[in-house]
Amino acid sequence: MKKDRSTLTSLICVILFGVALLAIAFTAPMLTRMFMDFFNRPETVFVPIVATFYSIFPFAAAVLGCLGVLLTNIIGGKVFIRQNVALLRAISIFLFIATLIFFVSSFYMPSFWLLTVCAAFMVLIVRVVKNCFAAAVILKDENELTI
Amino acid sequence: MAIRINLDVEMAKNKISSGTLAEKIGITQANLSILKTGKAKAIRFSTLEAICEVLGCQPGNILEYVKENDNG
Repeated sequence: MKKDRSTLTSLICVILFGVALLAIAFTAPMLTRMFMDFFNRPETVFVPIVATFYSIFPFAAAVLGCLGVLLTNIIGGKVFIRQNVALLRAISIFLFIATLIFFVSSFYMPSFWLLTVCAAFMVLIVRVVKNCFAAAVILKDENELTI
Repeated sequence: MAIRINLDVEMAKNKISSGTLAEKIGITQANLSILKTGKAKAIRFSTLEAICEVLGCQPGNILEYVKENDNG
């Protein structure tokens, strides 16, 4: 029961992140302006920052969508299935693209280096989890085909 | 696969149907079908023992090694 609640909590968090992402998408220019005023950034970085955000937005939305489907599968008892491996692979690809965008952006906004490293580390973690799931799917198949 | 399952032959010799055999050895008909068609990845000793007991045969009568390139 506790495990089920944990998965459900994760799904609720994914939905909340989705709502937050959507809210940020509508207010990105305003938030960027506030950020620039707070940290005294030059006006020239406004467009690149907003461009970075809107470039990453579809991939972030896709990652959240994949996580939502993955958690729904887990709640439904379908854990070690090929679809989940494919979803984790897709998440790692989307995160890799986001890493590349952050990497390019870090040339005009040095603080994006930190985000680049964090995103790259997340890619690594997701890849390892994907490999674990792929191995588990093979084991499950063998177990099911042991008569 | 290099291991061929000759369960059909032994079943025919004993004139036993899939349903009856599955029931007697305590597995589902679907699993027996997986075994008969050679899709199984492994077989438990307990299952093999039950099959041999019901069909009155030896494991060698059911399992046969054939070389990968030997289709005949």
